[in-house]
Amino acid sequence: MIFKAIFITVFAIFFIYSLLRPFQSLFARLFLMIGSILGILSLIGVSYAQSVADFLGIGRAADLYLYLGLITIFLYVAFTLNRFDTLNKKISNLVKELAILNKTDNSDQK
Amino acid sequence: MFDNIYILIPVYNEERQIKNVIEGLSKIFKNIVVVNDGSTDSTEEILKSLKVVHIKHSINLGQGAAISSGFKYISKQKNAHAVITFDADGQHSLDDAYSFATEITKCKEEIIFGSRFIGKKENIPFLKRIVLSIVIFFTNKFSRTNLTDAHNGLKALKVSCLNKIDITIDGFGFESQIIHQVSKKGISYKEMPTNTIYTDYSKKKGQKLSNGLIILEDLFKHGIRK
Repeated sequence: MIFKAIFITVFAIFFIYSLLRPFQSLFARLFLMIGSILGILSLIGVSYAQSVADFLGIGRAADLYLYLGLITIFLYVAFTLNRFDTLNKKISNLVKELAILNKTDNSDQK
Repeated sequence: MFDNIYILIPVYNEERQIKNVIEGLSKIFKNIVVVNDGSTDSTEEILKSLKVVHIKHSINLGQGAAISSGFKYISKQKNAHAVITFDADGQHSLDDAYSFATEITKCKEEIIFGSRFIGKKENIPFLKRIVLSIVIFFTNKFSRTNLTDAHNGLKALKVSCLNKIDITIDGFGFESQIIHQVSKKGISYKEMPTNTIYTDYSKKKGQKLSNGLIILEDLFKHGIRK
């Protein structure tokens, strides 16, 4: 029972966090919001999660969590790779700018 | 001696060849710019002893990044009319560099691409020829061009078109990106034959055939984003 209370508190904190935190994209906010609501639903009653699964035509609540888990992993990987790409570009530009600033000109050397 | 045609050499760990390549080129070209892309061998020390402008990347970024740095530097030089990109592993001939320099000063096109597939192509290793053909096919499809070679390091570009080309791919895929932008921005181009010298060293130093997949991946990603 105590673990149930802990998890509900954690999901509730996530939900409040999703409302308060300034996100760059609405998609990220919705993802955290829906995820935390589903988390709370799974804890307070399987029947609620089952209703959502039925509504989506998935069949079982367990499958709903499995699919959501997989989608989360793939999205996380995609966002992380995208962030790496952006970071790489910034590093690349910085290195190139510095290299040009610090160029060595020996062309007139005798 | 050409004094308004710049030679641009991207370099990564070329301690064995770079001195010979630069000494050969310096007999024909006054301005040689070498971009050392984070070499970890003695290339840097060798470059310091040679009469060149040398730009050093503090970390290894890739050939595309090296070319991009070189273009940025050369585009700001007042006396620069054109730039010829030249590989550091000794697989390009000085005669070709001379022909490209002569042609770019008098032709109306803004870019001359080197092609290993015009004229004799017996010296291209069989497997390399197949992989190159696939990359050329997709590059032409993506870019709506009709080139016979897509990843030849020897090319000549007028400085007027350097500002129109924005290289964002740091790796080998930059060659396809240049072609893509040339087509998209309506930059005039032509091809000239090159005589590529495939030695054991240049084969070892050159692109691995599996890089063809990375080039295609870059091309695909770039195609989607544009």
